Amino acid sequence: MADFDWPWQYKFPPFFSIQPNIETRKKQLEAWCTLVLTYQKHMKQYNLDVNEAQNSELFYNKQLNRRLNLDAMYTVLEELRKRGNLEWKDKNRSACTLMWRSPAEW
Amino acid sequence: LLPRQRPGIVGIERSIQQKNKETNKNISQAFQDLRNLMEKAKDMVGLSKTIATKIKDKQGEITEDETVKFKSYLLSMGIPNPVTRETHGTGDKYYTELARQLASVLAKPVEDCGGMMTMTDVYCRVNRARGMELLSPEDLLHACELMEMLALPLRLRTFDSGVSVLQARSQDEEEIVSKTSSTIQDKGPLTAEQLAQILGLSVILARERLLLTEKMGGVCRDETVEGLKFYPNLFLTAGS
Repeated sequence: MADFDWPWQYKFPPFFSIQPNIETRKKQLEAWCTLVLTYQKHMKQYNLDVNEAQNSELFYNKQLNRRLNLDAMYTVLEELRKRGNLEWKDKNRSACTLMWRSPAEW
Repeated sequence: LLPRQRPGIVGIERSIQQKNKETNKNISQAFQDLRNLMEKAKDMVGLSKTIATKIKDKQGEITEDETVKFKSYLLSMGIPNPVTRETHGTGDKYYTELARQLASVLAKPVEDCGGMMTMTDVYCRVNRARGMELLSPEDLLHACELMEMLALPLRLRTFDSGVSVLQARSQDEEEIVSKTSSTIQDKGPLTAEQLAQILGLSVILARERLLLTEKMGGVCRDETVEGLKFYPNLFLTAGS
């Protein structure tokens, strides 16, 4: 499979800490949402298990030695859910289905 | 004073007993005196309370001389009683004078420190210089709170983190923000300690500068086990 084209943010360490500044955080989450969706599309995956995803290259940049911690991951995933691109499979929020396009667009 | 020194254990025991009796007497006398003193102070407190309620009846007019005088009585007894005092004259003559004095003494050192000094540093400097008649932390804080109102060249400022500093009025916040972000542009990502070294400031102040700049969107953070590092805010500057 062709290499995934990582966005510049992925190589920017602050990308992996949730930013306290509201404006900055908005931009950051936007970038994260786009990244998650394009990555899943590239890998042709629909399901995401939160525990597994923690160690996947998507949320863990080995070269940079930075990873998005669990709380921050949920922040990103909840943002995706609000946009209509994600549905939880259970109440514990351990796994979810990702939709590249929201149901409305389909 | 002691009876004729007798040889042997009995003599030693007796002299020890004698000494004990002496100290006991001294101690109980000291407590007696203390109790009398407290009795007197209690009267004063009671009296000042009744005066406070009397003033309450007359509520409202601005800084009457009477209440100012009354406050200095309270001060000299060390009874901070702000709840009933606050409405009767803002602040206090003692504090206003102190604030003036502090402003004139500290203007130069604060300027030398880059326009900002933490309150703990101020406390240290002032009391070190005084030697006698030291200030209590509370006095210092009260006096500094008044500086703004008296239009002195210094003012008290509290950051979101709760750190209080004395800031030169001439210091410009936006200038700090732009200077901090340009330093980070030049030197690359920095921790508070590194910035403190570059600017020659204390770590606390460097940290506050960074947080302030972050609040304004000038920098963003990278939080790891290695520490908190600040980067240029590419999220806002770089187009996606």
